[in-house]
Amino acid sequence: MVALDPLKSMNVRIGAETFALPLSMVVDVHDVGKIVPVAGAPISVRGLSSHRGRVTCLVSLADLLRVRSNPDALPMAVSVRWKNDLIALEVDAVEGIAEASHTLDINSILNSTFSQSGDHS
Amino acid sequence: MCSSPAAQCKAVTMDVLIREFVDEACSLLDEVEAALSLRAPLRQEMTPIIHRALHTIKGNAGLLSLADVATAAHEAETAFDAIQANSAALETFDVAVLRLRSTILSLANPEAEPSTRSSVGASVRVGSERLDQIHRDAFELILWRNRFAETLKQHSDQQWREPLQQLTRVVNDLQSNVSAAMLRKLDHTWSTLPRMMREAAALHGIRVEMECIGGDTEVDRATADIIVDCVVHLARNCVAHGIEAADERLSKGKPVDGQIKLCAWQTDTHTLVSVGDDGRGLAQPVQQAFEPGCSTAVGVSELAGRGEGLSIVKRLIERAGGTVGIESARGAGTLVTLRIPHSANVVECLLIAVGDQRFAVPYRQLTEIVPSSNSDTNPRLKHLPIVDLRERLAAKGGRQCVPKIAICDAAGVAVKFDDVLHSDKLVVLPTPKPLAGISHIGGVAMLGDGMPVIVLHVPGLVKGHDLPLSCEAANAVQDNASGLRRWPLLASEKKALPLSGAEHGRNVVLLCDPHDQLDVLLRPVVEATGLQLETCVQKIPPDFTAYLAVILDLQDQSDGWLELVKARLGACQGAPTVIAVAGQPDAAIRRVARWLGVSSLINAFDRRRLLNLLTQSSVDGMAA
Repeated sequence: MVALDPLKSMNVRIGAETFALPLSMVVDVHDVGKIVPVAGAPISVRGLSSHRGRVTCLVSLADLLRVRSNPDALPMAVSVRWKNDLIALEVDAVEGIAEASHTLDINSILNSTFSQSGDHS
Repeated sequence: MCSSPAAQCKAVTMDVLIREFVDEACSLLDEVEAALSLRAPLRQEMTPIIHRALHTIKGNAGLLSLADVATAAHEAETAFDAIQANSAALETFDVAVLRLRSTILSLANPEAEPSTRSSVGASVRVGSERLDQIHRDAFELILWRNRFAETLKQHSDQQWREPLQQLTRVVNDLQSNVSAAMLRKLDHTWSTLPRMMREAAALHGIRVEMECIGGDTEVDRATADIIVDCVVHLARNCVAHGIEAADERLSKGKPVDGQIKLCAWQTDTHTLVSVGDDGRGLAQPVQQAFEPGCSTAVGVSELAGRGEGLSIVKRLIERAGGTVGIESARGAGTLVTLRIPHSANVVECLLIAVGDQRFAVPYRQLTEIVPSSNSDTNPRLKHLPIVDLRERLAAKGGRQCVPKIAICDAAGVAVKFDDVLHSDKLVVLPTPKPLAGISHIGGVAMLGDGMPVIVLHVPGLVKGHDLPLSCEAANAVQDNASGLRRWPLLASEKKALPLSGAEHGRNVVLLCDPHDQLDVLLRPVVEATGLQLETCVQKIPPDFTAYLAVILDLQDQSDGWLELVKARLGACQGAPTVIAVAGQPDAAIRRVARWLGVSSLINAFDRRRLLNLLTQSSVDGMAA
C-alpha cells in the first residue's frame, strides 16, 4: 500500500477561515502597497500593483472563493505563478508554511474565473 | 563557373534556413522521443505535442521544398495515427521517427560550414538564451533610468542633469541595438511560401496566387518561429479546403486563380498576421473550426485532412498569450487573424492625467491635442465622437484645469482628459491575463516612481469595440507604406499655408531636442508646411542664421546647454524666428525663455500655434 506524502502548503487567513495554498505555486509574500484601480476589470480584481520591478494584477482571494474577508485586517499579497504570469492574491493574513492533505486548486479557480467575461463589473 | 552575387546571397540564405530547420526539427523530435519514453497513460496526454511536432516538421519541410523530409514526416504521422487506432505497434512509430531523424540529419552538411562562415564575415553566434537575457537587461535599464530621472526631478538637483541626458542617450542606443539584434524580418522566413503554395495547388488541380504584404515587419525570433508555423498551416488550409476548382470558380464569377493574401503589421502592443482567401468559406460553424479532428477534407493527404492544422495554430498562439480570430462567409472566403502580444516593447508614450489617475497613450495613436475650450472651433472635432475618459474610466478627483482633447484620427475618435503630464519611453508589457478582455488596455508599464500605469488602446475606448480586424489591417498597411504616420492637413489649413520656403532659399527649421523626444511629434507639423526639419540631439550647430526658424525644447534642460543656445542666438542677432516649446511651460520655464530672449513659448502639443508661427515666419522670410 502506498501512503500519500503530505503536501507543503502556505496557510492564509481570510475572515475567520484558513486556506492552504500549494507552496509549489507561491513565488513571494509581500505588502499590498499602492494599487492602481482598473475600470472595467472583473469584480475580484483590486487593480495593478508593482513589486520588485514587476507589474502584477492584485486579485482578492476572498472574492474568488466567495467568502467574507475581515475589513479591519491589514491585507497581505501572496504572489503565485499562473499561466507564465504572476498574480498577487490579496489575503487578510499569512499564517505560515504547513503540511496539508489537501490544498486549494488555485489553477482551476483562476482558470474558471478569468476565462469567463461574466465576472466583469 | 562564377555565380552571380544575387545567386550566392540566395544560396547563403537557403543554407541558413536549412540549418535553422535542422536545429528546430531535431529539438521537436527530441520532444517526441521524450514523450514516447513515458508510460502509456502519461503518453496519452502527450498526444497533442507529438501531433504538433510532426505537423510542424512536415509544414516547414514543405516550405523549404524538402520533399524527402515532408514524406518521412507524413509517414511518421500515419504511423502515429495507426498507434492511436490500436492498429499498429509502437515499434512501427519508433522506426518512422528514426527514419525521419536520419533524413533530417542528412541535410546537415558540415563541409559547407567554412564557406558560409567566410561569407558571413564578422558575425558571431550568440546563444538565443543569452541574447534574451541581454534584451531583458536592456529593458530593466530603461526602467531604472526612468526611476533615476523621476528621483532627480523631485530633488531639483541640477548637477545630475547632464549625466542623466548622457545616460538616456546610451540607454536608448543600447536598447535599440539589442532590439535590432533580436529582430528578424518576416519575409526572411516566408519568402518561399508563394512558390510552395503554387506547387501544392497544382497537386490539387487548382491554381492560386499568393500575395504577401508586410514582410518587413520585424519580430523576435521566437515570435517569428510561431508565426511561420501558423502561416504554413493556414496557407495549406486555404489550398486544401478554401480555394475551389477552376470551373467552380468560373461558375461563381470568380477569377480562375484563387487568391491567398498574407498580411503582417504591428501595433504598439501586438503583432498581427492575417491569412485570407477568396474561396468557398467554412462549411462548419466558426467555433468548431479550431477543434482537433475537425476537417472538411475527404481524405488524408500530405497537405491536409487530419484536422490538426487550426487547432495547432490556436494552441501555439494561445501559448504565446495571443488570440486567433476567424471570419468566414459562405462562397466569399475566410480570414484568420493572429494577434500576438509583444513580449516587451519600448514605446514613446504621452502621460496624461484623468482624475487622480495617470494613463499612458502611445504617440502613434495621437494626432493632435487641443484645449477643450477650443473644441468648437476645431473643424476635425465636428466629425469625431468624443469619449470623456473621466466617465469611461470611472476616474474621480484630480486637478482642476481646462480639460484637453486628444484627436486620434486612426481610431476615428477624440478623447477628453484632464491634463498632459509629460512624455516618456516606457517598457510596455503584455496585459496581465485577468485583464486581457478589457478592450481599452493595450498593455501595462512601470513609471519612474515605481507605480504601474495602464497603456491605453484608444480604438478600444469606443463602445461596442473595435474596428473590424480587416479595417485595422487596411489602416496599418497604409501606415507601413508611408513609414511614420503623418498628420493630414485639413483643406482650410492647406489654403492658409504660404508658398514653400524653398522658393526663398531658407526652407529648413532646426529643432534643438536634447531629450530626443519631440521629433516624432513636431516633424509632421513642420513638413506639412512645406519646410524641412533638421533635428540636433547632441551637438548644436555653430550658426543659426542658415535656418528659417529654430525650435528649442526648454523642458528640463541643463544650464550648460542653455548657455550654449544663448550664445548661438546672440551671435546670429535674431535672424531666425525662435520658438520655444515645453511639455509644461510653467513659471520657471517662462523665466528661462525670457532670459534667452525668445518671443514665443508654446506648449509642445499645441500644433495649431506652432503651425501659425511657422506660417508667419515663412511669410516673413519671403518678404525679407
